[in-house]
Amino acid sequence: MDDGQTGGIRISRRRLLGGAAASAALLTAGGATAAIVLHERGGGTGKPGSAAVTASRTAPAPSRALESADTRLRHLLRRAAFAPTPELLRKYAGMPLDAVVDDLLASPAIDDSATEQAIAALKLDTSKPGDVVATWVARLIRTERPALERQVLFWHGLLTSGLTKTGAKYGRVMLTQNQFFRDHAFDRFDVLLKGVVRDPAMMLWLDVHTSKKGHPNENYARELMELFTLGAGNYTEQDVRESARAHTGYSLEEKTGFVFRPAQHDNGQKTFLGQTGNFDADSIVDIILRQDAAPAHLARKLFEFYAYPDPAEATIAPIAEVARSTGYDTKQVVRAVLTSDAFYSPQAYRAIVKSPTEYAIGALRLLDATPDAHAVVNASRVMGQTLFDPPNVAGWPGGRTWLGTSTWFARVNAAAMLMNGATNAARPRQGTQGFRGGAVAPANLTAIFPSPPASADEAIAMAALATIDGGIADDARATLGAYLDEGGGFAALPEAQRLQRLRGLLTLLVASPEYQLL
Amino acid sequence: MLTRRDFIKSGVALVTLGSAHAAIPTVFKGAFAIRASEADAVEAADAKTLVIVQLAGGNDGLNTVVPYRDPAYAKLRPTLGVAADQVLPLGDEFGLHPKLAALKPLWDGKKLAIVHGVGYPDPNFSHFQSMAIWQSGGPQNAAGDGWLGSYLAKLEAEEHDPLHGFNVDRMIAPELYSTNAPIVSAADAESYGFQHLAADEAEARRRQTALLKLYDQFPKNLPYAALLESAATDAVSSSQAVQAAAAGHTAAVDYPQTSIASGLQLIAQVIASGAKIRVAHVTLGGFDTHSAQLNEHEKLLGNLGDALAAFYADLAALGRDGDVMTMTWSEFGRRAGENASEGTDHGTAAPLFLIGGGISGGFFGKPVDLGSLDNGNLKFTTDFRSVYASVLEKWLGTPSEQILGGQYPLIDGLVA
Repeated sequence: MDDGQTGGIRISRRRLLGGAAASAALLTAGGATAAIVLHERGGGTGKPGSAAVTASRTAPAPSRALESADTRLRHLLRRAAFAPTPELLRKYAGMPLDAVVDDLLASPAIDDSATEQAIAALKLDTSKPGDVVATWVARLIRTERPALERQVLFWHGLLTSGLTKTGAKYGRVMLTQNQFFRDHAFDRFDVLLKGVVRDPAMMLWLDVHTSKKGHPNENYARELMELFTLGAGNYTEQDVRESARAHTGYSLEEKTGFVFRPAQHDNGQKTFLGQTGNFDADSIVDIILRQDAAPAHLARKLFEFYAYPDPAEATIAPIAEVARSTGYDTKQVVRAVLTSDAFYSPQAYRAIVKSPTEYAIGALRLLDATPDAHAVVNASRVMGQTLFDPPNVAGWPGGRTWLGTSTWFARVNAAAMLMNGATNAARPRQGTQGFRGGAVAPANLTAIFPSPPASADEAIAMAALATIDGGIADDARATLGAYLDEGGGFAALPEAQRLQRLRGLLTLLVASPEYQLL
Repeated sequence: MLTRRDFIKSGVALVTLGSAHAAIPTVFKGAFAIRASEADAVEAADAKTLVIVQLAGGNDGLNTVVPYRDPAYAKLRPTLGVAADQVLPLGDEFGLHPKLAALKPLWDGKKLAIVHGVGYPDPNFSHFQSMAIWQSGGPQNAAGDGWLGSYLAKLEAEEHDPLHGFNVDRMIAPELYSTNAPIVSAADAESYGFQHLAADEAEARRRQTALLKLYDQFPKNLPYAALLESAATDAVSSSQAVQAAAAGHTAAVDYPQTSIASGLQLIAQVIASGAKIRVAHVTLGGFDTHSAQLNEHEKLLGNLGDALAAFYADLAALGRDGDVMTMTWSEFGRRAGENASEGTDHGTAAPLFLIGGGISGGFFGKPVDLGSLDNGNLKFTTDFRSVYASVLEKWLGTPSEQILGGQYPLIDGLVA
């Protein structure tokens, strides 16, 4: 995904794409394009590399789509790595999916220093909230460790905090929290919980730092059980009050550094979830994680993030057992989700409405585009999600609520902006600190069209495969064909118009109903 | 009645508007025909509109409608209390917070009703759990449609008009949400539409036509099919209407430069256009005042009062104040006693406001008793579902029992 890596080839490809005379040279440059594969007719067990570049004429029913090995890999990469990029498809071609999962979960070991350097080169000012958000977005766009960032995104949704509570002045503590989630993305859950209660952003978000002996603040104590670990109904109001006492004295210096103040800690006996003792925040976590409801709660949250909403109890039970038996080893729980039969079942296919982040970052990575992160922050904001700014303590409700009239326009407009480019995209109406517009270069077409398509059919086959797994029904294919062919047939159009139509085709596919689903 | 599918097939949006639709600032001018129907406008004026103003975060009721003569109040609020000589007296016992001064003339004119002590049994202290209870209309329905979504679904069953519900935000408000009644969500008029779909207009139109066809062709048996189709088609048809409405009505009053005021102004503009809005929603957030509450809460109340007053004056100038009722709500009030952080923690009951020409002004319900707290919390005196039932039955003219999961007593005389 790094610009420097393939930049030379890409530029020449782009030029070639525009020049009809140079198609032979292009085929040489694009030697890796053999890995681009479309569905075999009727789904089946198409192996990467085996099928001809012709798309199926019949859309696979949703129940059949994941029968294709190629689609299974694309499905996994969408869910666990933001997008089935050409690079990842090449890397994992022919590899058993369990091995792909293991490789994805090993992504923290990948060297991402080029991304670090690229972010540093942006010279973002983290005293401004807009730049704080842009810092993570810039990483999401570029990182060589997308599977790691997916899990960081999970933790940001579950153990959420937000700029509205840290205040603009201390917004950079969100990046501290973000790095904590990155450092411990696949760590044990108890390590995350014991760390996050000492995390300045979380402490500010849920008022931990204001809690003193004799005046315990219940905010964190409540959400720890209700949202993070157990769910409503598994504790009493009295448990909340007792837990709040255990959390007294956890304080902040200058709002950015954790400090324990023994004089403010309530050392009295507390009775919490049936046990009595002089508990502190860490012993509260230990007691909570011994509750019957805890393993299933984490298993369900991870399953719903990666697989599909509202799973049956029986689907969750074996994953919860992995959580329990491994001492909440998050890596093993995620592995259990991504290798489960349920994950590749018909019920899982396109079963999640993409969040704005999943939509935007997925498209950018797929198209190998690196626009100004501020433009992406703003595009995502109008789609209904600003990272580090959740609507409330429960994070983003997600699901069907992502798709309203306003947010639908925002998605289509973002797709158009990505393909057409913009000089000062999505500038917020009322500027908050550091939220500003940004330039978007028109996305490079060669990520999707390694060789210039000779016909409308071929263009649709290539673009539909890359964006929506290639399964496209006859009537939709006809719609796209009519769009490409209008005015005398795609192949006969002047060069500039052909390029414009290819940009239009990708705009339509990224804005299509199928692409809104993960 | 034109269906969505007709619209897509013809590629032409027919939206019902009142008189104001002259200037349509859109890159797709010419792709749409706008039909103004006098009959629709007349019908719209006959029906009632409910505007919901959500005070998100848990508004401190005790510092909104202040029991300024109660010695218990001063004890509970040693640093946060509003002094007796600061409040705007509404009789002998209660006074408005001074920052709500803009509402005082409405009170004096009997256009403002205050319902005391609104809450529910076994109060939940979690923001979103308590919000979910208020939004759904009761715990029995916590996972389903919003209480007004249920009402909108009834309207939808008779006639599809996405502007039956108008939500001023990018994301749907849960109380207006129904899987069976897609409505319009728009944060503002200017950004509500296609932008830069292509550099030239002809190409943009080609792409738009193809895109809407793709949504029409998406197989109806797939997950999210209805949601995807309505999002696309309702977006296109309503953006024309909303943009025309915003261009078509200039308020007779000056709205403050706040987001809550801009939201209410947009609602007024869409109402003025003759659209058949039955329910609208706008949110003012920031009421979760756990610490350093004093300045923050004052500012919020000032923004609220000033915006509500401007909205009422705008509607009155339009002659529509009798058709539009505005109701505030918040997921809970605050704990009666202030905390050690100069703030207040999550509480229970609080007063709510109803404003409009169609209500009877004054106090309703029984005041809360500061001398009889439950674990430091106020005991509610009026179930919020009694307020909902009164609004549903007496204002919107629809039965409430099914929506609220039970028949709650109506509040006598609240709706004139």
